[in-house]
Amino acid sequence: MSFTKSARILAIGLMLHWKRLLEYRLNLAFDLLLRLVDSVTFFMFWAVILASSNGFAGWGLKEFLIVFALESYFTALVISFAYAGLYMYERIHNAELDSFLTKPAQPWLLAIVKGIEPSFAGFISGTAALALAFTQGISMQPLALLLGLFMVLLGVAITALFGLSLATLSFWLGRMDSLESVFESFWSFGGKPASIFPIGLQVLTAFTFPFIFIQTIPTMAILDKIPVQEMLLFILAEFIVLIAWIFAFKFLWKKGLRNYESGGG
Amino acid sequence: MKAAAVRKYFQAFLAELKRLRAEGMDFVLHLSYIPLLIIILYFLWSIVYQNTSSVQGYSFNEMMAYVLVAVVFRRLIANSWVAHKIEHYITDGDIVTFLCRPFDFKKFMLSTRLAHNFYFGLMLLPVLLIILAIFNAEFKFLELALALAILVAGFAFTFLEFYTIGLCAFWLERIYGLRHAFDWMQEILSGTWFPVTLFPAFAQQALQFLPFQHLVYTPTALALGKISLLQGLEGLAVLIIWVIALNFASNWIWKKGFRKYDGKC
Amino acid sequence: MAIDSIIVQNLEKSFPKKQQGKKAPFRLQFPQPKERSRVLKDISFSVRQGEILGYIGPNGAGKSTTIKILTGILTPDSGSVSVEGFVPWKQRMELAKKIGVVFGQKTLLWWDLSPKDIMPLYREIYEIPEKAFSKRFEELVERFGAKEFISTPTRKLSLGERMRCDLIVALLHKPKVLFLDEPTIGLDAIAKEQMRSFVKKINREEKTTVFLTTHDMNDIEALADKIIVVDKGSKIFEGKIEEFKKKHVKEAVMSFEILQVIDKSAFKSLLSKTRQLSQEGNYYELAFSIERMDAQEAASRLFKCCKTSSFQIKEQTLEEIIREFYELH
Repeated sequence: MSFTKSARILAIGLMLHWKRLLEYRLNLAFDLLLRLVDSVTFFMFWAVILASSNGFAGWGLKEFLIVFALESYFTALVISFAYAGLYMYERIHNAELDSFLTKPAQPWLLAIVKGIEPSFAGFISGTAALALAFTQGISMQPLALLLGLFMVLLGVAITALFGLSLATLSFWLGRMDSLESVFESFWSFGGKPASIFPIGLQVLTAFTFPFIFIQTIPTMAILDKIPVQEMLLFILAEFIVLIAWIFAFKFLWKKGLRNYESGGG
Repeated sequence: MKAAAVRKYFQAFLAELKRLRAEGMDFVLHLSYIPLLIIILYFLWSIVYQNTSSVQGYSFNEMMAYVLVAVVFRRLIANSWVAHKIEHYITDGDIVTFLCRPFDFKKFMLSTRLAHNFYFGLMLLPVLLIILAIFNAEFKFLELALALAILVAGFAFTFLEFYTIGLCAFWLERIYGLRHAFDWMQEILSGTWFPVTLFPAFAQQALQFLPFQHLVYTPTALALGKISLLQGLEGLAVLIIWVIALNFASNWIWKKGFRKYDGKC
Repeated sequence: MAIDSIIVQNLEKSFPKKQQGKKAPFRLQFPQPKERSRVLKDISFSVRQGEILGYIGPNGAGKSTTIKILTGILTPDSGSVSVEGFVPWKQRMELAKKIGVVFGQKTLLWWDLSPKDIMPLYREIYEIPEKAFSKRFEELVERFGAKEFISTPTRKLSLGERMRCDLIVALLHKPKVLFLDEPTIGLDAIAKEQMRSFVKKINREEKTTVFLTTHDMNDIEALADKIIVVDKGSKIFEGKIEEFKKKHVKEAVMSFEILQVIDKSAFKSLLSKTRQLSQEGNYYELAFSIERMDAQEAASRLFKCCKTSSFQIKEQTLEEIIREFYELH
């Protein structure tokens, strides 16, 4: 299936979900309110940690503000798109996959389109955080910022593929509500300074579940703590990871479909 | 509740236990995030303790003990799945089957969920005892018993909490954001990541009469001998009051939502 | 010369048997358990282009499995299938462009949006050019009388209205074959009638081949040109409905009102050769075995012994035959 067709289907899907959202305006308000709650708990958590220690891996409020901004964008996009990939496991087990399989489009794409949940609050809180940083006179490297956003995008794509791959596991393992716990536990590694984790763990996750790096590396680069060249290396690594995940998912999907019993008739 | 009714829900309880025994993989994965969370917290606290030997009266060992016990307790009172399930019952229209049968929806959900957490409890109990044995030579029976009672009340609270959130699907259709926000917020406020005594004084005062800290912090601190029996009892009382209040609220919301739903038998 | 739209040869499909009994707490579900149950056993049949095929059988006979193989959802163990020249599980995407599928239980529509809202998505999926699409959509809405509710959110539609819209979606791209899995399930009598007439219309006007599975024999009587009966994975019968009836009709039912009994003993003897279904005063309903006594003989016996009115002889309906047939097997 051509890339342009997939892109157009995704675009129409987004438009339809936007329409849905307008029907339930209350959800938009809740989305914002809850992002607020989330933000407060984020800062409260780090305030407590920072207060309990004198200098946390060299990070201060400045760093956490930028991390928060990136984390906001990341979360907004993950909620909007990546969970849709994970929730394909439900569509596999409620026979909705059958209707996707009989259409001339990739079933996993149709599953994602069906499951999109647009979340805007993260964009608002993220931009607010960046604006706050700007008004507070915190100097940010614009190139690093752009590349940082790009890293976030790649990270979301990896998370979506991770979700889709977990969903395909349900072809073998049956209906697994626990997949959501597994999914969430992996990217809870993000939003913390990468340096707190031992090098071994960093290397291990860099090429599998790079969530440790997606927000903290750009933060360091934006605040000019690491050179942009180093950041480019990480982006390259992220690309490699993304491609690896594409292959992993394709493999699991093919194998899983062959194993598909479709409710056993 | 009449004997026949009790038997009916007990059957549902047993059925869920049987299902859990069969779905071994799902159970294992549900717990998979525990080691991941512990790893994160371990590294986090290692950094904090680099510059100080005691945080609010907790040594590094004691903090790790706290974290381990807290994470286990957190799992025992986890009920966010209830909201997810109810949302699906409502949006798929399956909730009508409950309305047309002599099954109290809430009691049914409670029986199934009770089986779930009871099963986890059984599996995790030996783990818990081992942890306590490693970190805490003294075996405080009375404190442990009270901690267990508090956990039961805590379970009742989170069940009603997410039951009510799930019912909001009558109005909101998708309660994803609402559910996750309460989940995340509770994670911090319940004291899963660190004892609530680390919060600034004003926050502690505000949280005092809210049930959140008693979900995890109170039973954990009690089991580790960090708070007195009296303080434990106070926590239990607060929880019970909240459970009663929430029970009324949830019944009211059910009536309202059901009327709005206009489901036909 | 009639071309075959669907050709199935020696189709075999088995599923791993569900494990019963107690399992270890940490049992993994792979490797697959060795025991498998054969769901489809050497199934072969063909459907001509433009034909409506009724694929029937008791629960567990393998109907859904067959339709899922034909539409590319499942891969068979062995055998060959050709639908419009495509091998379904190998050329799923290409075949999907030529077929329309409606599963009675799962809708193609989105809960919160109206059917009309969803159409652009399907237009894009089926790659239908804008102008042709609008024309086709309007045409189908008109034909199926859906103008009133096409812009209503799906959650507010009745089941009948929803199924009609599902049918519209399935026909947007002018498919060559239409697969219908229990299309009238849960519908009231009027909605069922309407559904049947729409399917018949499309079949006649566009020469669409229709593959229909259903439990409602009235669907079959109204639509099917040919039926295939399956049971426990094997094909039991393939042919016209009339043939099946002739082959399997066991009983006929005679109903009448007695005005006067002329020959009491002859009447008694007739009653003994029949099965009394009901009797209200002078009104009788008697069922008799066709093998022992055909309709003509039964009627002449009755007229010889009695004066009657409101006389009727009814053959068994397909419904009744099938029910007996299922029970027998």
